[in-house]
Amino acid sequence: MNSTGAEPDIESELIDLDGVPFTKLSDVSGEALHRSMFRVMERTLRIRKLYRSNASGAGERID
Amino acid sequence: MASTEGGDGTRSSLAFLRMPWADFDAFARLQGDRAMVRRLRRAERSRRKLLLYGLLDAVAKKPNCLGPLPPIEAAWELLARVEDASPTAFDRLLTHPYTGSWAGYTTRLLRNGLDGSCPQWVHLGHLHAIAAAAAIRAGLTFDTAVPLWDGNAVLPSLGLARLPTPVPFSTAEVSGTEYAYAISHSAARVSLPAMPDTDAPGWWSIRRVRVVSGRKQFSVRLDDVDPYRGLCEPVPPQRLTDAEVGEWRRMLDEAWQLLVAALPDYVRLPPIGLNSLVPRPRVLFRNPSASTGEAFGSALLGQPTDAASLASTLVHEFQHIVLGGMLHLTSLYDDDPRERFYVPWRDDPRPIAGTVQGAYAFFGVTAYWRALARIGAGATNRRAWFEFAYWRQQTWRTLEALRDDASLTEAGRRFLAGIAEVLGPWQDEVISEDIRDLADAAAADHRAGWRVRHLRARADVVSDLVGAWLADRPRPPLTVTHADLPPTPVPDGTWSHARADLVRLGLTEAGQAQLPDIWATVPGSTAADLAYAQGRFHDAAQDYRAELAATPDRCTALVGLGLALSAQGPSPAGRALLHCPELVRAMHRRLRRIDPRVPTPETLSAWIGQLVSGHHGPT
Repeated sequence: MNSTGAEPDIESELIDLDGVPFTKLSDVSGEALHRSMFRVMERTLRIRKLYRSNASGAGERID
Repeated sequence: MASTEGGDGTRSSLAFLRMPWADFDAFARLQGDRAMVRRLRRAERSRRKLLLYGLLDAVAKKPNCLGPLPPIEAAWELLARVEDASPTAFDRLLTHPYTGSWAGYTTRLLRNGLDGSCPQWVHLGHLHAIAAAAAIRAGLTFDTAVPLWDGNAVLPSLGLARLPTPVPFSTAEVSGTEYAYAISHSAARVSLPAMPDTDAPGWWSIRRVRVVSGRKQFSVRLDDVDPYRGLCEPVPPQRLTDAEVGEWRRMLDEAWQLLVAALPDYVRLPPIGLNSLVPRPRVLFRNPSASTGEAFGSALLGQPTDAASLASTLVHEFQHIVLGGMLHLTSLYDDDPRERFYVPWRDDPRPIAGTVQGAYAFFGVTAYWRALARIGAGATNRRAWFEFAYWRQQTWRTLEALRDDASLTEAGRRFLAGIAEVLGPWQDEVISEDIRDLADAAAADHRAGWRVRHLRARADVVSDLVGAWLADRPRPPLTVTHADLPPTPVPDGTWSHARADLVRLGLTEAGQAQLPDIWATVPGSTAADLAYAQGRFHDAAQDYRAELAATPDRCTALVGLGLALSAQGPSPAGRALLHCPELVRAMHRRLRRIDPRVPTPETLSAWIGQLVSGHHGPT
C-alpha cells in the first residue's frame, strides 16, 4: 500500500480558493465554484442525520 | 482544473484541491509531518470560504432576516475592508474554529427554516460579530451592531462583553478606532482593553496557555465564551475562575512534558492543528472529550483527572482533527447511519463513521501509552502499560471488525490497512502477564456489558434452550452457537464504569492502598466491584451473587460474576456470562415466567457454558 510518486493525487470536490480573496469570490463565481459550494453546504445538512448523542458523558465526534 | 466565468465576463481557472497519497498513507501510519498538516489547514480555509460564501448568498436572498441588525451587506463591506487592510486578521477569523461550527449550524437552521437556540436573526447576525472581531484585529475604524444574548456580546477569538439587559435577545453597538473600541447599548458601555486578551471591567478575554518543553512549544486558547464552541447547539458562557485556569495551565504543562518525552516527533504536529480548547466541568474519574469536524482546530475537554490522561486526550483529539480534515478531501466510507459496531470507547453501538473515527483516535492513544510505558515514567508506568495492553487489543478488534465492511471505500480500506501495518506488530510486544490479564479482563468486561444491553437473544434459540432445560437435558442444544442478531441502539438495562474505574485506580500500590477509602466515591460502585478490583475474586463472586439474588437482570452483576468466576480458573459459567450474557439473561427471564423453581443465573450459565469455548477474553 505504499504510495509512489507515479500515483496520481486524490482529487477532492473542494475548489482550491487559497489564492482568491473571500470578498472577491463573486468575481470568479462559476459552475465549478457553485457545485463545490453546494457540496460543502449539503454536507453540513447530513450531520444531524448521522449522529445521535447518548448524553452519558461519553466521548463524541461529529463529522 | 475547473474553468469559471465571472459576472463581468472575465475567466479564471480554479483547481480542485488534491491530496497526495503520500500524505494519506503517512497520516494512516502516524507518520504525518508539519507540511502535511499545513496542507490540511489550507484545504480547510478553502472549505470555510465556500461554506461562508454559500451561507451569505442564502442570507442575501432572505430580506429582513437579520431583524434589528444592519443588513448583510454591511458585514460584507466590513469584511472586505478587513481583507484589504489585513489579510492576516481576516484569515484569523475565517479559520477560527467556531466560525466553522457557526456557519454549519446556521446553514442547517436556514435550510430547515428553524430558529435554533435563539431567534434566527441572532444566529445569522453573528456574522456581524465575526466582522467586528476581524476589524478590531485589523485596527480599522468602524461601527456596527452585534447580537446580544442574555446580555452577552461575543467577539469571536477575542472575548465577550457583558452588558446587562432585561430582554434575552437584543443588540449592541461596536465602534472605535485602532486600540480603542467599545461595545455599548443604551444603558451600559464596555471599553475593550488595548490588549483585548486581558480582562477588563465587563470584558472577559479568551485566555491563552503556552507550555514549553525544550524547544517544543504548544499554545492554545481556553475558550469559555464563544456561543458556537459546543458540539451541536450554541451554549452560554461558562467562565473559568482564575484558579481553574491555573489548574488547566498546570495540567497542560505537565501533559506537554509527557508528550514531548514520549512522542518527540509526533508532538510537532498538534501545535499546527489544535489551537483552541473548550474547558468543560470535571467528570469524576473520567476524561471525556468531544469535537466536531466543523470546528477544525478545536476540542472540548472535561477538566482532566491527571496529566497523563490529558496528554492521551490531546493525542486522541488531534487524531480526530487530522481525520476530519482528510474527510473533507476524500471519502473513506459511504453514508451508513446504521448503529451496528461494538466499540470499546462507547457504551452504545456506533455507525461506521464514528467507528472509523474512533479507531484512528485510539490508534494514536495506543501509540502514546506504548511510548510512555517504554520510557518508564515513574508512578504512571504501570498505568501506561495497562492502557497500552488494553487499547492495542481493543483498537485492533475494532479494525478487524471494520476492515472488510462493505461500506468502506477503496481509500477507506487503504487507510485502515495503513493503521494495521503499524498496530499489528504491537500486538505481539511483550507485556507482563499480570498487566495483560488485567487488560484482557477489562476488555471482556466492557464487551460483555455491551452484549447484555445491546444484543437481543434470538427467540428461537431461547426457546430451544428453555425446552432442553425443562427436559432435563444435560447439555444445551447446539443452536446456542448461532450467529447474533444485529445490535439495537436501545439498551436493555444500565451500565456502570465503576469496576473499570476501580481497576485503574488500583493499578499502583498507592492506588491499592487508597481503594478502601475512596471506592465509595466512584459513581455506581458496589462492594462486589471493590472486592474484584482488590483481587478478592471469591468475595467478589459472593457479592455479585447477592446482587443477582436481589436483581437477576442487573447487567453489571451478571458480567461481574462472570469476571470473578473466570479469574479463579476455568469456569463454564464464567465463559457464558462473558461470551453470551444476553442469552443467559433471556433464558432466565423466560424461566422466571413459567417455572417457580427458577435456577440462579449462575446455574444456567454453567449449563450453557458447556458449549462456550475460550478464555475469559471476548470472542
